[in-house]
Amino acid sequence: MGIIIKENYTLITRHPIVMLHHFAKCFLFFLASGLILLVISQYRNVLSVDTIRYVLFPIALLLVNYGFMKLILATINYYNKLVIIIPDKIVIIDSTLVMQEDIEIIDLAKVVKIDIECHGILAAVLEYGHFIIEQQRNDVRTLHFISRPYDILHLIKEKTTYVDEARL
Amino acid sequence: MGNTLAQATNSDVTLFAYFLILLSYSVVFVALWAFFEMRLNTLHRHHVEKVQPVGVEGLKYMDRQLKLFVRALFVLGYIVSVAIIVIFF
Repeated sequence: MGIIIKENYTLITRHPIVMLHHFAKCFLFFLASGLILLVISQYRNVLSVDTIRYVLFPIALLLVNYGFMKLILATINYYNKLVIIIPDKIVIIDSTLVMQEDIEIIDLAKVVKIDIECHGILAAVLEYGHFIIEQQRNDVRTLHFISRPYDILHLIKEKTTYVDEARL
Repeated sequence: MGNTLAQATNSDVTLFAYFLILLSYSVVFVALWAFFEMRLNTLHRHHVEKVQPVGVEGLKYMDRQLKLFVRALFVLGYIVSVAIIVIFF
């Protein structure tokens, strides 16, 4: 995962560390639910049946389901944030399950500046960073947590040269 | 002979509540799953329409992977939730 390079297009996803971050957040909900279930199993004789059945059990069940739903939605967001580089364009897809469905097409000829920001040890070691595309009229588009940004920069340079040569 | 409704014991009522919870949970879960599948198909179709003809193969690959992952998470979530209901209710 990261970059899929084909003959006439390149598909780029965000770095898997984004998924790891979401997974860690959901793990907290599973942990909280596990703790409640542990309390139920350990203090079954001390706690009243009503407390277990109408308070602790629903909370534990809700926490598990909330965690799973959050993880599923995060996965959908991750897989629907894509950048596709085709010979003369960059297509940016940014969709969620229900709330958002953005597709942006940037003409490579109108890109005036590309910046890459790799801050921190993790970003340097795991090869991810923010990719900033500046277009004419100061339109700036930032793509966060992109895998191997230097390879992508190289790819875009190749495509841009191709476009320029085609115009000549 | 089984008990009539008036003669239902406490354990009968608990068993009924138990199955009611499992049934309602399963129905909501399946409805949610169907909605997610439907929306994912729509999203994929919209993306393919916008990007066509280049990059369709890559989008299909991503869509397959996403659906596999989402289905696995749904199944895992269902198994865990049903296990919690069965063990702790």
